[in-house]
Amino acid sequence: MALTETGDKSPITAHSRSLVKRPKGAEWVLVAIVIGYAALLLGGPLVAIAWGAISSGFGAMIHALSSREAALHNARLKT
Amino acid sequence: MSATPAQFPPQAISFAAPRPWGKWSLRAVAAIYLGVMIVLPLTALLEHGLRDGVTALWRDLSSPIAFAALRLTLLTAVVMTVINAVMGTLTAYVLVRYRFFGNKLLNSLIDLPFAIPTLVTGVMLVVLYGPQQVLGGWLEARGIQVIFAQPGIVLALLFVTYPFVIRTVPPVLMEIDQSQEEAAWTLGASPWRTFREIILPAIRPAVLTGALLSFARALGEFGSIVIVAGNIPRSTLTAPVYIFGQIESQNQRGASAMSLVLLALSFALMMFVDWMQERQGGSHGVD
Repeated sequence: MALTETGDKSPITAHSRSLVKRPKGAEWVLVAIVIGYAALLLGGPLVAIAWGAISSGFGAMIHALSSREAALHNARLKT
Repeated sequence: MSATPAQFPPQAISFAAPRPWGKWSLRAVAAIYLGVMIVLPLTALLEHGLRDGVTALWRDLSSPIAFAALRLTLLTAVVMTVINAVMGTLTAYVLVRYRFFGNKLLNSLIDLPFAIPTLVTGVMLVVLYGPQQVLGGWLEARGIQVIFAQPGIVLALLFVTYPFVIRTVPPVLMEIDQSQEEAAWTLGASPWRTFREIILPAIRPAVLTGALLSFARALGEFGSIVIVAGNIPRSTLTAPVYIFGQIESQNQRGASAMSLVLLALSFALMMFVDWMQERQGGSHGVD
């Protein structure tokens, strides 16, 4: 087998890949930063609005929605 | 010997070509659609903005409130773009290269800002960072005001433009042969040096494209900012909200003047992005 052989299916490449150790410390730090950023930017607001909506119970949420509907209906009738 | 398309006689493939009338009617439909949807409104805006001459347009733009709104819009968009370019590249790299718990959830969450109405984004941020809320109150006690201040605008822009860089970079990252990175590690290069010298040169055009797209998107953001910013003239009033205010107060020329500036900026950015993508495609072709 030629030593210059390259490509994903080459046994040489596959073997050498198995020997290469990715820097695990850096990996965990990067993953933690990315998850933290996404949690802060996306997760936080989502959880906050969901919690704000259901913290007083589903009854209160449905009441608020139905009241809103009633208000909109009222506005439509008036205009 | 296998047959190649060049070996077929031209007559054999000519039947597949569309008839000329079909081609022209398709072109006409596309041109009419483009004209009605884009060219006509743009022409109307240009005509309205320049109706009283360039001097009047400049007078509208150089009023202290308009100038401050434009400056704030550009400033917050630049800050957001820098953060977005760094964090978007990092997120894209982590998603493509590493497998971890929650990988798929994060991947599906990324497109969420595209699906959520921007007004809802504003409400969500107020619910979390508002001065009456737990986190917002805690930050305010430490002298950090988020909502009704400039950090809130940047936060809203970061939320709305979150997917742009993250979705532009992965296709290029996946094209890079991982063996190059592994070779660098085995030769003793640090992860940062590997990233800087092997990955970054390849993904730089994609990062720049994503960053510019997010910048262009941020220039026109209205829904989330109108809720988050408080819209105080010369403090937290951005250009799109200024336009809305001018229309509300019947000053259509002022609204048109600011719209023209935003339009020109967005158009220039889009042209630049197109040029970059063409260059990127060209370089791929050469490679």
